[in-house]
Amino acid sequence: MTTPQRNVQFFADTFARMRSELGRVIVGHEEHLELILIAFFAGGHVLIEGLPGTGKTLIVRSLGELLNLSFARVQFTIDLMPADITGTRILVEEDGRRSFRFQPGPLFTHVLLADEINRATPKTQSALLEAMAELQVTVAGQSYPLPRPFFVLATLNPIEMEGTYPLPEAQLDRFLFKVVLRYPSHDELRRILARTTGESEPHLSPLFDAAVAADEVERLRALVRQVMVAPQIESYAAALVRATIPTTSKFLPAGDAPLAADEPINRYVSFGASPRGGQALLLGAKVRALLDGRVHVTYEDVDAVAVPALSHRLVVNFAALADGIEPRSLIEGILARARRLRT
Amino acid sequence: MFPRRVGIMAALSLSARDIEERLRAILWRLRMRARLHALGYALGCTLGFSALVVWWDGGQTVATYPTWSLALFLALTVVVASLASALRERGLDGQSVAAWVDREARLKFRLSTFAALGEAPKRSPLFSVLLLQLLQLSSRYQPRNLVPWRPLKPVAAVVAGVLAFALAWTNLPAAPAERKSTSSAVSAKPSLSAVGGEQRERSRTNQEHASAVLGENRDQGDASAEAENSFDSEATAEVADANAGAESGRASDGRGSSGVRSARTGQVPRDATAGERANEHTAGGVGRGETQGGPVRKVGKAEAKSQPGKFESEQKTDAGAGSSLAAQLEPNRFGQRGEGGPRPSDSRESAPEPSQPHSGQKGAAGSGTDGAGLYGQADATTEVAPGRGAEPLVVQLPVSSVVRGKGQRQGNAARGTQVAEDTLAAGTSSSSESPSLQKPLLPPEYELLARQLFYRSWQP
Repeated sequence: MTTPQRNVQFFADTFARMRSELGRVIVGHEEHLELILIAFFAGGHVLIEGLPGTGKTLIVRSLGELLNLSFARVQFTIDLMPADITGTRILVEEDGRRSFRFQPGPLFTHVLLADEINRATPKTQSALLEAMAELQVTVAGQSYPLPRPFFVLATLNPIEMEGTYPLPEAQLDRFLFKVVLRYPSHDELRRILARTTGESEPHLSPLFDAAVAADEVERLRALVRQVMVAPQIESYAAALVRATIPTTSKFLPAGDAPLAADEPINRYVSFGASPRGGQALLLGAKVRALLDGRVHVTYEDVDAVAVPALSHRLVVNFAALADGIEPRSLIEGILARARRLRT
Repeated sequence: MFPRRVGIMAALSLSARDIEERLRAILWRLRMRARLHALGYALGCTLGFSALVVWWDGGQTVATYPTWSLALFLALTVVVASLASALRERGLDGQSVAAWVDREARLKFRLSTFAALGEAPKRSPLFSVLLLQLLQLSSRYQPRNLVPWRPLKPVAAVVAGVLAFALAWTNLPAAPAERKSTSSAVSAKPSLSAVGGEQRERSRTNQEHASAVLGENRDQGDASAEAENSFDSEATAEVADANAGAESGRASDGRGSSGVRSARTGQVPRDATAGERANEHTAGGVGRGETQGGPVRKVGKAEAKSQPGKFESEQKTDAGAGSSLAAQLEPNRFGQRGEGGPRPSDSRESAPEPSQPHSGQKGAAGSGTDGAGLYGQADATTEVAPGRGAEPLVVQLPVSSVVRGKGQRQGNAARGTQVAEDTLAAGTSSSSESPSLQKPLLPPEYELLARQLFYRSWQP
């Protein structure tokens, strides 16, 4: 077995073990867990929307423990300041001399849980933008790189919207996927109760040593980038993204698109997905391909991640809210029309 | 480390070349099979269309020049379309074929990715894994297995077309009487031979009508009308007897013409039928041993008599043997033109008595007095003596007729002088010495054509 083959096999094995270990702690949410792991290995961040008590924090914490990576949690509140998460410069005295030294904030971790991110002010929220996109923090004119891997898992509470600040579109665009957690089913709830009220809670066994964990994860992430994408797949992903943009948009360039926006998109969408949506599509598809033991992306891989990758990037208008139209259904409509583009 | 890497790269190149060759072979087989299928479907459709034409048209006009021209045009169109399709198939690119192979062999887009990225200047480090996976799955996309030569459907289409065509050709439905009556004299021949009650009844009706009209003509004592109306061997009889002994002439006419007809076509039933008709008419006193078309013709001419100038149009629209003048101008099924037929110079022109047999030779349904028959041998235009006070008629007879035992008589007919005597003799002999009347034998090529034409009533 050649080295690339071994790497591919190692990736698939690692992913399978992670899914299995997380399944011991987290009941249900298998599909969501897979999406979170896909985003993790794709180098993206995940926005989880769910009601309180559905296991959002548990998922993130378990992930950190499993990979033996550093983990931090920030409870976003309305009075949280940017320096509280990015860090600040403090005055220190050493050898009789006073100087400012940067004190890293909770962002300097491998896995960050930004709990109820919509409760922080836009100023604080935007402090995450640079960290999530550039993997660095700039304080007082000086940039500080974040540790690799850096994975942000933010949660949104769909209720208690009073006093919250909806995430700006620019920040929403930074998240690779958006995962909506639902209530557990009856059987899942019974298993949760049995597992959390017993004598002992399940413990996770880390997959990697702490010394090499970050490097191993980075190696796996690099492997994801090597997965091949045929030009027709790239064209397909681009067509999907382009189809989310209303044809009435003044920002739409001239020229024919292989898949134009249909009537529901024009009616309910104000702004479509950005190129980051296309990146999310292909990166997620690459991870899915590796999970299947393949080193190339197929149309099915792209379709499988289209809804979590594009739905939160659509800015729907009031008509969609009034009619109860969700972005998910719009994306599914685009996927149904895009099948004719396949070769 | 370095030699091992070189070895790996060489193995990768070999693997890639092997896969490329296999993909190329699949592409070639796909194109060939597509062409074969297109050709098979085209042939099947063409045959099916031809069968439909034969079935629909009853085989009457399928042998005519325009029909076959149309068929040829359609066939050429199909061939050109097939070639265009083949050219389009030739334009299949490797990507399309690779995608097709991916679907057929369940390769999960591996071959498409290989074909798309195989020529990329910078390959991914995982390209070797893709190659290995393709090699491991090579049994799925063997060209022979993936594109087998199983043109079952096109072959089935061709076979179905052939069967349909053969079925339509061998089971030609009887053409409608209206169509036959309006068609050429050649096409009317089968109706003469047909012994169907409907046609016989129609023949009787026409004969009665014609007899009535002729009787009226006779009452008027217009001998020229007789000569004018005479077209078949009855005119010959009138020539033989200048005073036109009507009864004898009709008698000889009835037997002689029918005999000649049967001699020409070699059909005994028709002969018998005609003989019956002749006998009936003779017994009835009307005495016009005409065949089916003759009386109609006479009706038209009788009308033309009262309405001068109408003759020409009537003549062209007349049906059956009586319209053989017009029919002879039309190309018949044997490719003989109408030059052999008499050409009336005007509407009042008397019938060219000596030449009438030649009109029968031309293939009109009920004519031909000398037994020389349909395939007259005269190789030149024969100018015959005009009728009473009429302009001479020019009769052009084809060369190719060969009738055993009647060649001399036919030659006489061609010369146009002894025709009357021969005809009279034939009529006499047919009436009194009918067993001595020999049935002319057709040359093989005409026999084959006649067999096809008169397949229903053909009796060698």
